[in-house]
Amino acid sequence: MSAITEQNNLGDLLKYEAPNRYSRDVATIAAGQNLPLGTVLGRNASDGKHYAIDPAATDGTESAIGVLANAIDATNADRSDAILIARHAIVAKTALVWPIALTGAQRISYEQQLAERGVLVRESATLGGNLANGSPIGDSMPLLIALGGELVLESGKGMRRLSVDSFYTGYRQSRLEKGEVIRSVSIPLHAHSFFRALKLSKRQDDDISIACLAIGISLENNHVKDVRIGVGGMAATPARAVQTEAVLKGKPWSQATINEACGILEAEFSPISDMRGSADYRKKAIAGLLQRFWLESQEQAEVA
Amino acid sequence: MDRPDFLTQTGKPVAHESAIAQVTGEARYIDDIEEVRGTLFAAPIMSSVAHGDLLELDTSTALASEGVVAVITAKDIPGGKFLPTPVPDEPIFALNEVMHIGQVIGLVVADTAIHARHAARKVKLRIAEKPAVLDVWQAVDQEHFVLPPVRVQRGSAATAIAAAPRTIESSFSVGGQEHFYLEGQVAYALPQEQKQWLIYSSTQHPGEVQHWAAHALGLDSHRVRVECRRMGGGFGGKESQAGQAAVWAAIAANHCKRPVKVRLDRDEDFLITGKRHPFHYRYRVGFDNTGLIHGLEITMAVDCGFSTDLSGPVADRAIFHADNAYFLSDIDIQSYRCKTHRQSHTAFRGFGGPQGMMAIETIMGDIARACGLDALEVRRRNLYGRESRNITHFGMQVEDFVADEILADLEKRCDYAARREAIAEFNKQSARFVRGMAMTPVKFGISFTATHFNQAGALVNVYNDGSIQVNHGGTEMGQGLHTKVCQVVADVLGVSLSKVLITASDTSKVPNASPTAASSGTDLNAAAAQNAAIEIRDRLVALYAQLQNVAEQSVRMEQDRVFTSEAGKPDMAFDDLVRQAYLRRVQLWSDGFYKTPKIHYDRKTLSGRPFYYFSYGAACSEVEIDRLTGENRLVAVDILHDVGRSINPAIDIGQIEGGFIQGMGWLTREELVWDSKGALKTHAPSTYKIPATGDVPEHFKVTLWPHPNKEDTVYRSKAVGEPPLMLAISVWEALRDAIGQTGSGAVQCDAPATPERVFFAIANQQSSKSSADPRA
Repeated sequence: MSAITEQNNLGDLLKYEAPNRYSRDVATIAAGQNLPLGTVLGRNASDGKHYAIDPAATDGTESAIGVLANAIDATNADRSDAILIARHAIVAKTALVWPIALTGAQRISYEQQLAERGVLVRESATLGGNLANGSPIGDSMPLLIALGGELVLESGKGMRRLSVDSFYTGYRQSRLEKGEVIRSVSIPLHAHSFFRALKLSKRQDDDISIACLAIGISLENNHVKDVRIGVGGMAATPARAVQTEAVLKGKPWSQATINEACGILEAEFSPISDMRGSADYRKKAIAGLLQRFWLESQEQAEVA
Repeated sequence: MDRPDFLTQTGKPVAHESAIAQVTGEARYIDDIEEVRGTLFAAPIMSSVAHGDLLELDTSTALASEGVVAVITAKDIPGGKFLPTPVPDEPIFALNEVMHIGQVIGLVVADTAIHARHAARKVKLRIAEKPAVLDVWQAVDQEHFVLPPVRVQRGSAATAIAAAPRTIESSFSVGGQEHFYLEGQVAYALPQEQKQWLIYSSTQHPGEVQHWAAHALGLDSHRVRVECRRMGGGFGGKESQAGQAAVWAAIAANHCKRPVKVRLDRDEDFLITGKRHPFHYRYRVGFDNTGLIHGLEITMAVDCGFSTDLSGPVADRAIFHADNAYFLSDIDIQSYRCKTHRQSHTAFRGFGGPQGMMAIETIMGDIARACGLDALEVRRRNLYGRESRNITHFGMQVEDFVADEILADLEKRCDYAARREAIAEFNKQSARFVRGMAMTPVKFGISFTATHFNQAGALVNVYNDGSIQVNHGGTEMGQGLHTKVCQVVADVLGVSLSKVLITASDTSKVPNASPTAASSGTDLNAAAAQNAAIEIRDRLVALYAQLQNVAEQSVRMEQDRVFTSEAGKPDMAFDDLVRQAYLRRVQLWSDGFYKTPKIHYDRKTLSGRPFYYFSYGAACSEVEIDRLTGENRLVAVDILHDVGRSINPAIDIGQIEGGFIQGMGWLTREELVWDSKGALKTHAPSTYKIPATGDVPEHFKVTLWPHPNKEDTVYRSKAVGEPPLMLAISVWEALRDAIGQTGSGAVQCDAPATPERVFFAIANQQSSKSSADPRA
């Protein structure tokens, strides 16, 4: 069967540009190249023509000066109708075309070169946005709680650190103060014996959680040395299951311990009933996810 | 008419006529049409209360809002204030009373859609709330109906059940389903000169949009032309309820004297338009130890919503399919058409048939578990017979029964017995997962139960360069109707497919066309187009015979040429013959008409032959449940489906795959949740989940049953739009089979079988494990 594959278009690439085509230049692509939309370009200092960047070059094309906004086939001859996004614009990271075999460090450095020209490379969403939004059914917060994540908050007054599990104060409310931004998220290095983030939803893919359980344990002599549990969908905020953690800590890592912990976890929160699931189901299902964690830990040989 | 051997186009898996245009974005939908200068946009003002008296509408803030031109309410309707449906109980805009949350009270018209939408939220409503009926059994008790109850009986169910060795009495319900067409409801109304109108509408029934708009405008139908090139999906949601958006646009355009477009956003679409009818069942069945049903009493309480819409024929079709493929000697069906303060539920692929079949298939599973038999055995035991046991409960003889053969064939194909054993073994080994399997048949009646709808017209124009244009009363919603019609016309005239072009459905080309619904699109419209093409072919054959001095019977047209079997006579290019015909003043266009033969029935007693024939199929589904959470997935499905002699196997298989997955979504994932106030809480893709690609099983095998239709349909093909949806009942029954294997009690679960429902159904099994089931 013949197939048509849709290539990226300008909308996929260009997320913002300045008015009156200020961001755009018309450029010449040197012969012998067939460049797709989104190619990161450099300019040859001697002939003034544009080439796909080449980190090994010394003729000027080792530096990024912009992004190609239309596909240009210059295989046979120079093409002078290329559109270059040269300044004051935002482009999507996923739509950029880089040389093959570019290292991660080189790419970051090229993105900085573009940023210096006002061409910002952006992801379509950020972790900080998800954290600040603070939905009780967002999935990254339980994960960060279980990982012992910390937020670095910054304002004109300075910086401060706050653990993710102490960040939320109520439904979509947090300790983030006016004028303060989430500067970074730090996660301590762990030597977990076993870690899982398990989400439950009506549909497997692309669905919001009914409940979410993230949990990491460290075992010593088959006893629980350390455990952290983050849950979603169980309270007005993402939450840490401190009671369940307390029951697990120090106990032998066994079915009996898990059964006891499941009973505690089922009772630890008072979730709401809504269109995604009833309160009763959420309580029983979060315990089911803890059982799943146990079963999956038993399937993994090194956890013992 | 049988398909002659030499045909080249029909039977081929040619690509959809718009496939490339749709993939590349060239295909235009209503909202893609370039707007005429001065076009305005309307957004709905919706009720926030399920039931109440509308006391006051304060529009001052909305009118002062940026870009707003007008607020339109019922007083601005020049013609009839109710939609001219058979039971005219749905006001175009709510009058003094609101009857569901989301009911449209009026429109805000503005220079942009965003301005209109913003301003619509600023309209202040004062509504005196009244008690709302949201429970169908409460509606039954209060006789709160949109239509009177209907009862169909044969034999004496009560006597048969009393005398039967075993009985089961139970109840359950099946939820509704949002159509979730990719293209939402949209219409664009353009006033023309001298009280004439052009309306672009995304509709399965342009003729009804024409009728409704004319009625609301106070005009005769001939002044309104409705056009639809294609819909981005219909699924029944645009059979009747595309009309509202068109009528609203026309009323607003009439008031403002400017073109107006109405395009509902997704949330509005969810809140305003009806869904598949939720059904609630109570049943009592008597049977013996072999699983044979002796008697069945069933009550269907149908949630129709606030107006009648198509609820009558939907509830009727559920009655007509309460047997599915089974002979029910003594049966008593009571159907209540409940009026509730919700969206007005409407046509949805299957049109009540799925809800009819769900009851009997669920009962088959119940009986199998009660008797300790394999459910396939019980299903087989109850099938219709060929010579006897072949009259339906509505008095129609089943003449074309093949469900028995299809089940037997599929049983071998999918290795049923070996997989049963493997599943039993798997369930013994696994503490966490449990698997189940079910094979269910489908027998679906083809024809509109409204007999007069079973007619169609078409227009075939041959231009003097030999190119051909076809137009017919059907509409394209992605299902491939236009492609099949082109194939048929190409074959009648013996030309390549590229010579045949289809154009937009248009009420000025074919009048009084029926909705494209009831799976009948090809049966009706391709047959009408075939008849039109035959007229032209006969004229061309006669001309060629005259030119070459040969007998007409010796002439054949194929591969863009005209031949005679008589020796020594030259063949001729189709284009040349057409030019000769034009020069000799032979008419090169023709209309064509078709009406379905043999059908008749009494609407009062629901007896007769409502269906020309039946479409058959069967599916075997295997599922796996995670007992810890109730999450479940389809592991594998094998389908054997009867489309008669396929006009286009690629399109037919696509319809089967799509129908099955859509049915699976209805029964497993797609949950409509209304709160206690009657507000629909799942009104967006964030909360209402249709199946995703990840829900399609790796093993998904569809085979076409290789036999022609026994009835004389176009090339002996069969309808395919709706029947495959009901193959998904096998997923539902496989889930119940798996749940049943976790304990010994009766399986109690409502549809859709969401993880939560499956989890608690298993929990019930666990709790009843120790105590003996009183019903067994």
